Amino acid sequence: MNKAENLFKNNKLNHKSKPLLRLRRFVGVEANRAANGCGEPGIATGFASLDTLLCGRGWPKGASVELLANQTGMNELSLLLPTLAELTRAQKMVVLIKPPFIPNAQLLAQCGVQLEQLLLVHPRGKRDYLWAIEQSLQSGGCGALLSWQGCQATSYRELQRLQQAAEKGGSLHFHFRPQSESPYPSPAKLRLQLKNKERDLSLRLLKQINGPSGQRLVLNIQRATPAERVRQGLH
Amino acid sequence: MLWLCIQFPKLSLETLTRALTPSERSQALAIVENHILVQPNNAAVEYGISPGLSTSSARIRCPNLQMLQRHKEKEQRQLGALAQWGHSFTPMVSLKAASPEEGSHPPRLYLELSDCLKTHGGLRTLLNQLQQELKEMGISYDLGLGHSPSAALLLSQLAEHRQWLQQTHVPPTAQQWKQWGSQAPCKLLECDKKTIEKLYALGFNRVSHLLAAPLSEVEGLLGRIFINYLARLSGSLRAPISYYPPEPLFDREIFFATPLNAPEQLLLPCNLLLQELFHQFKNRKAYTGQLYLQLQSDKKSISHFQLESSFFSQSEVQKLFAQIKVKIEKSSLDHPIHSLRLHGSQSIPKTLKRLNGSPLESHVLNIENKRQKLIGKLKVRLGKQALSRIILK
Repeated sequence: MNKAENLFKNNKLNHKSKPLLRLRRFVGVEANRAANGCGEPGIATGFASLDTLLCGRGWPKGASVELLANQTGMNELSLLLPTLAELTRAQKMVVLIKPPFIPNAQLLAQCGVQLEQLLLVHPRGKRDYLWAIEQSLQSGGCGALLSWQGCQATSYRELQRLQQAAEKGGSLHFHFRPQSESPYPSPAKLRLQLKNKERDLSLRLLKQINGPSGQRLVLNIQRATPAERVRQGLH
Repeated sequence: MLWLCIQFPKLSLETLTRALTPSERSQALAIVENHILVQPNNAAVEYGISPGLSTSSARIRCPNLQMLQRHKEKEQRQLGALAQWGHSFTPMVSLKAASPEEGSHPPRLYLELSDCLKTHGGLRTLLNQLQQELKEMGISYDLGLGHSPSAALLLSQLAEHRQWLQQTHVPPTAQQWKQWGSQAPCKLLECDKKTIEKLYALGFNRVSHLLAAPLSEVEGLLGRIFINYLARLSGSLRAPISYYPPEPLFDREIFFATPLNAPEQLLLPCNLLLQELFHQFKNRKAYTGQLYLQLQSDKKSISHFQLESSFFSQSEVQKLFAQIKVKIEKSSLDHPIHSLRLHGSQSIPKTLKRLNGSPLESHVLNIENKRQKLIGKLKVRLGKQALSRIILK
């Protein structure tokens, strides 16, 4: 991750108005990549409207994606289910680190997620938590990694290490963080703010490297009602 | 071209006895075919027992001689396994079984080494590795290095060349080849008995005599086929070689001359098989998802054990060995075990596998390997209890 690139996005500068200024910050391959937009196609999110907003028409590979949400429930995870289904079908392992709940197996199976490819990791302290994420991302052995920050604060440097690990391993990293973290800068390539709206999920693109940001989107995600949740045994 | 000929002079004996303990091997043993001794071991030779002796004469010389019936099919399988092992060094492997028409040449393997010397760190390292692995497998061998398979076979029978091969770091020069080849006696040539007898009758005792004689004369005496053979020997004519195609599966078997009753006795042969598997898969850049261990008793009852494996480290071999140990110790051996077989359900080469229609292209082996490493790492640091899976009830 290029520092200049991050600073640029975090300070919310409009690069389109000053293309030369942007190019001057990059050298060699990076300059070429910056001039030509994002080269590598992403992994389809499963939602066409979201794909059109994202640079690379999907989740960026080898990068951290921050999902800022206050509620941690199945609805937020539903956003990732098509991708997880695709990855697990391709025999790629998906690691869930410190999930606040155990996902409903039946629902996951209904969405096409191969359960045997899911691995839940419950580290004890913050140190182990960060270590587990870094190792999993670096290893290249997992297709995607979902981590929940919880109430523990994570510094910029720590986030930067996670981003670097994702780049090294070429894995997808979805980092669920509380919405209170949204004003603070982050090295993540993509930052999305999530809000539940009854049966829909409202999204706001806070940051996207090499792409536009600031857009809002409402996705129609079939969310289970509390009564349905009880029936489905979500715990 | 640089051909290595590996002769297996005691293959019939070793196929049936390589799983024996050193003390068992020190007893007099011999392989018998049609009431004639084919191959005695060193202990039997000390009693004056030699190949070609009838069983009754052998019994008179050594009353305690243990006779094992020759099993050609098992020998062939063992030779196939050795060719498979040869593939872990070079893709150009040729296999030649012993045939009565060719005189007394034992079964042998030809490995073309010129293209794989760099990969294996030079000739000396490669030869050391080959010799060490053969030793571990309990197989006797004679090595010969030549510019053609025929030359390599000829040189493998020369003590001087074999001695040189133990020390060399570089392939021999053309001059050395010429010197060794010309010094070799004609009886070592790859010809049938009649031709050899004819050669000696004509006064050609050494290869140098043959090479010195005018070709037209030799052709007139011994025919065009022999001239072609000489041309292949000198390297002026390329030998037609039938390469051994590698088998997709790993399949090795060890036979016990004395059936085993105690589970502990099985552990050593199991370890031997695992080491062979490890070497083969490591060198061939392949792995197998599932392994099966099969114990066969005389009464045709077969016990199967399924083992989970993801290879590529010595520690994985140890883990597999621990798995086998637990499984064998748990099982009660009702009948004595006659053979032990380890085979992989599928041998997956380390090649790129593309998933059609998907944007996800993955190197299946790498991912599997990395995944196992990652899980191992997480388990070590966080503990087994920190990892869990989701199960659909």
